[in-house]
Amino acid sequence: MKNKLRELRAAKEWSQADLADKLGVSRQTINAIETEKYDPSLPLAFKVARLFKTSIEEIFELDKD
Amino acid sequence: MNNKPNLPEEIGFGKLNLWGSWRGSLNKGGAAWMFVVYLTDIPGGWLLQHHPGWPLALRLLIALTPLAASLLYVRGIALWIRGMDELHRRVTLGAFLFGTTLYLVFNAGWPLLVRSGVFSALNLTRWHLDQMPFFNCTFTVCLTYLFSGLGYAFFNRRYK
Repeated sequence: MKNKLRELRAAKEWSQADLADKLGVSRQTINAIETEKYDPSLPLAFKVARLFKTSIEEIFELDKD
Repeated sequence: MNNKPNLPEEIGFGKLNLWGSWRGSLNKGGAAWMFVVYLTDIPGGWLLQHHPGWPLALRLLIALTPLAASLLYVRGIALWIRGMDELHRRVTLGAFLFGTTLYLVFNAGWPLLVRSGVFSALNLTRWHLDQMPFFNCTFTVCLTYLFSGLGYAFFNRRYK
């Protein structure tokens, strides 16, 4: 699954640790999501979307295949 | 409010600095109970062997203390995992499942290897490899923890 988390975080000038603190997860989890090694759960995806005041579809995109 | 999730590294996983992580993690993840297992299991076995005349209630207490501590250790680990974030929870649960399964495989397979005579044939009995104490709580906890550590290193590699 592709995502725009890195761009959104950079726009806010937050570090991975800052974002991790705001979401209540570890920095490694943020890094794994940004590098697309890990797909977040639905509750975490909602938290991310709420934090950036946007929708889940704006941040996460399912691969076509 | 403490919003920080528990991290596997805080109870020793994923760190080579064992002494530093052990010292800092004594009250985390049931580690204190693990030390109670270590401190009561082998001395308890010695006491039971050398004092067969002690009252049954006392002998039962000595025998069950390490087992109760092992259960409290497992409870501590379970609570610790519950406090992790979703990625680490997944990785750590996988690691413990891997560790426990590997321990059960060793537990079941080792006596078969002993009976097959492979250790005698390879002259490994001098290291007492034919007398592995699978019935011992300390050995069980240590080996399961070691195998879980291996599982953690394996499963966590992808997310580093």
